[in-house]
Amino acid sequence: MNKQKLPVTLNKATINQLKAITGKIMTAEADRQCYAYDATNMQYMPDAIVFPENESQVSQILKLANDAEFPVIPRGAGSGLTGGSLAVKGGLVVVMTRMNQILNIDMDNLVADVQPGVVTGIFHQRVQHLGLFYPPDPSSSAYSTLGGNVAECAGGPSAVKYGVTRDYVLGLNVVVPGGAIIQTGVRTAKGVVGYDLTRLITGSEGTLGIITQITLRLLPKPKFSQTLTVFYPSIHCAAENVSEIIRQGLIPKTIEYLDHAAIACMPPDLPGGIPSEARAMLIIEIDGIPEQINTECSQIMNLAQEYEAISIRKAENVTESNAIWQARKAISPALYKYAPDKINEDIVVPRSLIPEFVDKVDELRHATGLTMITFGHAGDGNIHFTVMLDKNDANTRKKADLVIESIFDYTLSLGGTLSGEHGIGISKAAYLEKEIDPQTLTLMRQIKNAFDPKGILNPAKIFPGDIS
Amino acid sequence: MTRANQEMNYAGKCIRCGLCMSVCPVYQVSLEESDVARGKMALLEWHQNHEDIKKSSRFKQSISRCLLCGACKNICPNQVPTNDCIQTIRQDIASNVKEKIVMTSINTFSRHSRFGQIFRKSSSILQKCVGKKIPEQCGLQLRFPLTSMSGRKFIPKIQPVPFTSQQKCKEQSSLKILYFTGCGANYVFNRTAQALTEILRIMNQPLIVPENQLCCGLPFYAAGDNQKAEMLAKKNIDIIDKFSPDMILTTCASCGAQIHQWQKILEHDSVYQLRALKIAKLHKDATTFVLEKNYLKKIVSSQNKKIEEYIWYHHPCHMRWGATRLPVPKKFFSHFDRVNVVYSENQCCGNGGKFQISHFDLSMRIFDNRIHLFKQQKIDRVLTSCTGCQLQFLEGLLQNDLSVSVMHPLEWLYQFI
Repeated sequence: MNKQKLPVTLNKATINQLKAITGKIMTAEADRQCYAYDATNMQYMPDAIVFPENESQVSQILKLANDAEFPVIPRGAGSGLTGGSLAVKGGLVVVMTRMNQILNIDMDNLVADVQPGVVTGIFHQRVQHLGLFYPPDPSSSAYSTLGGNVAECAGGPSAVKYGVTRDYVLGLNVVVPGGAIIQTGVRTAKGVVGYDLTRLITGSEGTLGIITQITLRLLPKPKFSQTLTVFYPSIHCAAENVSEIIRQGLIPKTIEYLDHAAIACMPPDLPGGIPSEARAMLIIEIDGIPEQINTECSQIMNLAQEYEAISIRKAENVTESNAIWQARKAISPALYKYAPDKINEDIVVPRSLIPEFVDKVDELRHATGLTMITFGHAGDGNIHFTVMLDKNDANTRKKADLVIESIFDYTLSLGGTLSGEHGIGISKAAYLEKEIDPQTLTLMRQIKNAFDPKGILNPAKIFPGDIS
Repeated sequence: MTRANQEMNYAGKCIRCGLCMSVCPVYQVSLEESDVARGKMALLEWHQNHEDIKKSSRFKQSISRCLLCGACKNICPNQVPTNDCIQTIRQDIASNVKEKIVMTSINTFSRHSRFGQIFRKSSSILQKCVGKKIPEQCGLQLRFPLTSMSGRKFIPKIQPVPFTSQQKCKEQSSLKILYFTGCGANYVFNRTAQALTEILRIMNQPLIVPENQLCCGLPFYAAGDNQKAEMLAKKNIDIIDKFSPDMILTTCASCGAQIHQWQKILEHDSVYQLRALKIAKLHKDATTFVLEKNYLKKIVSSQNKKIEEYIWYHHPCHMRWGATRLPVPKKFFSHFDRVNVVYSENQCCGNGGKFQISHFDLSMRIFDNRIHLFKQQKIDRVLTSCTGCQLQFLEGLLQNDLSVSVMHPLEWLYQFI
C-alpha cells in the first residue's frame, strides 16, 4: 500500500468555518483513515471530511476553499478504480452521500431529477417499478452513486445497444470553484444552445466542479429479454462471430465475452453446463418485443453455428438467465483464486480487432508467465484485461508494469483507447500522453484553468506530472 | 502467531472494493465509512501499527458499531472474515482496558436526554423482575442492563419459573434429543419452549431438557468477553455430554450459531475443542427438525388449514449466513391455504444483541427501514426464530405504535394442533 505524509492544508480557523457551514466536520485520525482510500486500495490521508446536505453548503465550501486555497476532493461511494476520489494533496474530502434524494420522476417526458448521492442500484429499482429503464449499469451499481457515475462516465455491459452514462445525462447543476452554481444542459430530447458543458463535465472526474443535481433521460422498460450462452473452440471464432452479428444489423442489449481462464471461474452448475473443450464463451442478451426477440434469436443461433460454436443454448426461463448473469458477475471476485492481487485495465479496441488483441495477450502471457485473464463487453470492444499477481513479489510486479505498458501501446496502435469506463484519475495519468497529443492536452489544461484557476478542485488528477 | 495477529492478516486481505457497502445495515443508515467493513478493516490495519489507539474512543466507537450480522463476510470477494476480526479486536480492547461490558459504555445516551425519567422508572421495574430472576451469567443480563434502558418501551415479562425447572419427565426413547433452550425461551419466551415440547410429544418424541444448562455465551463473546464465553461453553459441553444425545435442538438461531462457535472459542484446548466439534455436528434448528419429519401434514387439522392470516416472516441473520445457514422455510406455510406471508429475507432487524443496548437510536433506525411496509399492508403477526430478533420486533413495533404480535414459528404452529 502506498503511504505518504502530507502537510496539513487546513488551519483551525478554516476548520471552524467549515463546521459552521455543514454542522459537522471530521478531523480525528480514525475518521481520516476511513476516507484515505477508494477501490484502488491506494492511500492518501485527507485533513478533514464534510458531508454537505444541500447545494448551498457545497457552494459555501467551494467559496471558502477558493479563498483559503485548500484542496477539495469530491467523493461519492469511494468505489472508483483509478483514484478519482483520493486526497492526493491532502485537503478536504466532500462526501456527497447525504444528498441522496430522488427528487422527481417525470413519467410523461421520461426524465428524472436526482441528487448525486443516490445509489445507482436503488435508482434502477425505483424506475423499474414505474415501468421505466435507466440502462447504465456498472458492476458497482449496488453501491456506487449516480454522482460518481456521472463524474467518471460509468459504462456497463449494455453499452453496445444503450450507450453509457453520458448518453443519459441531459443536464446538471454544478458548483464550480469560487462557489458559483451553474446549470448546464436541458430537460428536453434536443438542445443546442451554447457549448455542451454537460458532456464536458460528465467524465471530468471531479476536476471542474461538484455535481449537486442531475437530470437523467429514461427509457420505457423493454418488455422481454432472452439470454443465450454460446461456447467456442477458440477466442477467434467467438470474436469474429461478434463482428458478424453486428454487421448483420443485429444489436443485442449485451454481448459479454469470456476467455478460458474466466470460464474456469464460472460455477460448474451453470445452466446447460460448460463443455470441457470450450476456449471462449459469449453471453448474449436480446431485449424487445417477443416476435422480434424470436427472429433475432434464431438469426444469432444460426450465425453461431457458422462460427463453429460447440454449444448454443437459450436460457429456458428467468431463473436460468438470472443464474447466468449472476455467474458472470461473480467472475471478477472469483479471479482471486489465481492470486491475491489484481490489476484490472479497461481498454477498448475496435470490436473487429478483438482477435488481434487477444493474440497479443497470449504472446505476453507466454513471454512473462504471468496469469492474465480477458473478459468483458465484447459488443463494444471494451475488454477487462486483468493480471492476477502477488504484489509483494517485486519481480512479478515489475513484469506486470511492463506488460501493462505494452498492452496500452498495442491498444492505441489498434485505434483503441486506454479507458472505456474507469477513468484516468492517478492510476493512468502517466499514460495520458500516449493517447492525447500535446496541443489537445494544452487545451484541456486551459479548460481546467478556466473552471478552477487556483487548482483547488481534485488536484493532481488526469493530467500527467501533477502528482509528485 | 496469536489469534489477534491472524485476524489482522485477514484484515490485510481487504481490497477496499466497497461491495460490503451494498449489504451493511449500519452503513446504509449512517452512510459513514467507519461503519462499513472496509472502513473497519482500514482501522484495524492502522490499529496494528499504533498500539496506543486502543485507548482512542473514536476507534472503540467504530468497532462497537457492528451488528456482527455477517452479511459483509458473506459477500466479500476476498473472503475476509470481517465479523471474526471485529470480535477479536473487541476482545483485545476488553482485555486491555479491563472493561467487563466494553461496548455498552460507549454512546449510550446519544440523543435521548428526555428519557432520563423513563429510564429511572423502567429500571426500578426491571430491578424487581430481572435482577432477581435471571442469573448473573445469563446473556439476558447484557440485553437488559439496568443502566441503559433509556428510550425503551418494551419491558420483557420474566417468567416466574424458568422453563428448564418445569421439566420433570426425562423419558428415554430410541432417539435421544436434547433441547438447548437458550435464555430467551427459558426466562422470557416460555411459550416457545412449551410449543416445541408439545409438538414433539405429539410426534412421540420426548425431549431431554437439562435443568442446569447455561447461557450459550454469545452476548459475552460478541462483547469481547472471551473468558466468560469460554467458561459458559465448557460448562455447557460438560452438561450436554452427560446425556450423550443423538441430536441437539435449538429454538433460537443465535444460540444455534454460538454452539457452532464454541470450537473456535476453545481452539487452544484440544480436548474441549473436539467435544465442541462433536456437539456442533449434533445441532439442528427445531423448526427444521419438525419440517423434516413431515409431521406437519398430519398434525395440522383440516379446519385450521383454512385459517386466514397475514404474516411477516423474518429470517434471522444467524440463519442466513455461516455454519447455521438455512433456506427460508416456505414449506412451513404450505399447509395453510389462506395464510399470506411476506418473507423478509435480506434485512437484518438491527438488534445485534448488545448493539441494540449500546446504540439504541441506530438500532431503531435500522429497524425502521421496514416499517413503511407494515403501514402499507395488513400484518397480523411477525414470526421469527431468534430471541434477539423477537425482542427487536417487539421494541421496534411498539416504538412505532403498531400492535402486531411477535412469536416463534413453532409457537404459532402449536395453536393449530
